[in-house]
Amino acid sequence: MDETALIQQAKEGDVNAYNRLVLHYQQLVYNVTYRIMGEPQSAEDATQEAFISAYKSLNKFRGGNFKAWLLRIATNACYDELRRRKRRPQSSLDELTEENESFAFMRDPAEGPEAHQQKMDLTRAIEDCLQGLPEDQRVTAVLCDVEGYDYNEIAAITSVSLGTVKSRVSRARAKLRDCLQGVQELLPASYRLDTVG
Amino acid sequence: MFDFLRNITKSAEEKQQEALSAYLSDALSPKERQQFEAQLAQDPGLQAELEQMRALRQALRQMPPRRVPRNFTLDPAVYGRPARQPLIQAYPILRGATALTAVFLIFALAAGLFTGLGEDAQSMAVEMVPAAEVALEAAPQEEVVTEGEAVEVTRIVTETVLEMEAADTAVEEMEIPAEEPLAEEAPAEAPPLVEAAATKAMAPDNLAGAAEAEEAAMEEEALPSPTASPTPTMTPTSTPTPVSTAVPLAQATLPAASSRQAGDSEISSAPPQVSMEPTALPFPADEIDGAETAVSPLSALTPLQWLQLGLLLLLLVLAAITLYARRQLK
Repeated sequence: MDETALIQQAKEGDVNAYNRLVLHYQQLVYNVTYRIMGEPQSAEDATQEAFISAYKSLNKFRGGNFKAWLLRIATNACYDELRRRKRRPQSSLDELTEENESFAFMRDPAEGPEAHQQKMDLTRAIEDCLQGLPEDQRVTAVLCDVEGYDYNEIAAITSVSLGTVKSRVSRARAKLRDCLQGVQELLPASYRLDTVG
Repeated sequence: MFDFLRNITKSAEEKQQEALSAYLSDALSPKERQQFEAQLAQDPGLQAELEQMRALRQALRQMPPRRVPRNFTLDPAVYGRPARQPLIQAYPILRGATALTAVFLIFALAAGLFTGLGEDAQSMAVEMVPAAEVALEAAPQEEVVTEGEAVEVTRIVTETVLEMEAADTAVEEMEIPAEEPLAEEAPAEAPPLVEAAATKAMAPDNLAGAAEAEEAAMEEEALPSPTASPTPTMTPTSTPTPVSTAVPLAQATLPAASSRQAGDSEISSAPPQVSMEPTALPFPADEIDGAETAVSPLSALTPLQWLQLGLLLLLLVLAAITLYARRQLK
């Protein structure tokens, strides 16, 4: 995929070229928005909003890292969605039932039912702890530890300084560790934080 | 800079936590890394904490990705061409233009500073010479104008009036065009009153009062004595010699001439009026130094100052537009 050419075509109004970019990045964007939002429907809304907004402001993109630019729009869409959610809180019962189905497709055929359940429990525990973080720290933790971006990329995506990123990552990790130690009975032995070291 | 300020307020524990996190993310500089590893080797508690964090990071990284519930592609029928962002596309040009203007402005200010120093020295020297002359000449004039000098002034005025009468007699015999050069000789200096009086005197229906009018005209013509004297100018910008201070002299002569019969004692009271005060001028000061009094601050600017002003305004406008474009970028 020639990303630069697709971006140029999209800037000239070729929506199909842009849709090829969407298909390429939607998994990444959706996962980031999901980890930040903590529930599928909001993540879906934020993802769609991010792609629409990115297309509309495509002429603002002046080259460079398109993925980072897209993720910045996505995180901004998440912030907007979180603000909206604060104004009108909603139930997440539907999401909990849907969650198991969503994880099902990731199941490793060699993985036994018990191992799969443990993995799901751990994932749910981490997601709960992530949701307990302040928004800024959550976004930074997701980008750093879930998606694996380095500090400089996170600083570019979130439009903050490197020092702020360092501080946020450190605080987020400390809080996540404390949170997960509280639910460590759910964790498999290999993930129990107090057994290591 | 803000990071530096934030670091000052951080506790040692917070700094250690940040260093640990950064070490785990491989975000330390070689020097910081070396320092942290030395600290780590001596601190078992820090090692345990590092292992906890490493396990946490691994757990987070192993979270299974979520399946995308649907495609997020856009409908070509709904979405047209992305909106053009001329301001944003022109941002690099705007930024360059702003920087260039700032550089030009600095050069212009520096040039103004250097040339201004030289000009100031010159203009100060030029201004100080006449000022010194005026000071030197005005001071003795006020002090020295004694009764004897007042008599001398009266004598000069009387002679002048007599000469003027003689000249006027000659003029009367001449044709009217012959008078015009005299009138044109100092059109700005000769007050309209002189011309009016002269015209009145020349008018045929005023022949009866011609003598009186002529005398009045003579007295009035004595006012712009420069027209009759070798010192022709009356403006304050002229060299302020005692004679060329024609206006004060004329003012001195006006009461003196008009009250010739009053005697020398009265004439001696004229010196206090021999002053440079513009309020004592026989016609509005605007007519004399109108060019200077009507000068606005802008018209007094030199081309270099105009350039500086223009560049400053351009810089302000460009900076505002560039900042706006930059905000749009984010």
